Amino acid sequence: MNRYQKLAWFNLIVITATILITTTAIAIELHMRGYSTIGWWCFPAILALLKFKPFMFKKPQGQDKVICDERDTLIVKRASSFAYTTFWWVFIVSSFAVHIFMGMGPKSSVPTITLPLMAVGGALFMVIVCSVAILVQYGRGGKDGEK
Amino acid sequence: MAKNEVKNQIRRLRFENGEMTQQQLADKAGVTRQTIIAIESGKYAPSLPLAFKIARTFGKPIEDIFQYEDEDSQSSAAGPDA
Repeated sequence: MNRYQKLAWFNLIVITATILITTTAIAIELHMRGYSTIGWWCFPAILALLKFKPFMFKKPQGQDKVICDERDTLIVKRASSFAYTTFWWVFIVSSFAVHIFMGMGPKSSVPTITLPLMAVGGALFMVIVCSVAILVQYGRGGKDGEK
Repeated sequence: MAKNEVKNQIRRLRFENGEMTQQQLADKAGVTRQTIIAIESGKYAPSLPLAFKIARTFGKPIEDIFQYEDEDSQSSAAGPDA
């Protein structure tokens, strides 16, 4: 498994953990107290782990071994492009969904938190799609252990 | 739509060159072993500079290592009666 695959798995694990833990914490708090404060803090706290990526997956010093070549660059480029395109499609569809489900009618209104949530959700969605696309492309390109 | 494929003789040439391992070839060509695996199995077509590097590693012209094949060339090679 190379550096990009490790990074992709790390992203997927951290984001999945963030979503699961935050949702659980908010649900428990809402059930017990009727409102949630700690739950919302779980979200940025766990997501901050993503900032540790450069320290966790550093390029080994003093080794001449190639860790990234033209194929890796191409795979990451394709995955990023696919994720970016997908993000915009989902963003457009969700904008219309907000309008249809919350914005119809003469006195309808959309909560101010909706747009930040869409932006953050979209960013997370983009990272997830990019990571999955990277893993899928490496999966197609041959396995380790062949000689 | 015509199916295009770049075939290669890397696997055979590695064994003819003192059973060179994929890692040794990767080090000489300046790529990862995964990339050599992908090229050998025909799942990845290398860029022209990388193809030249691999060819130089074996000391052979590029045509001896990589062959471009599509449906048109295959049907013409088989002849009009085929």
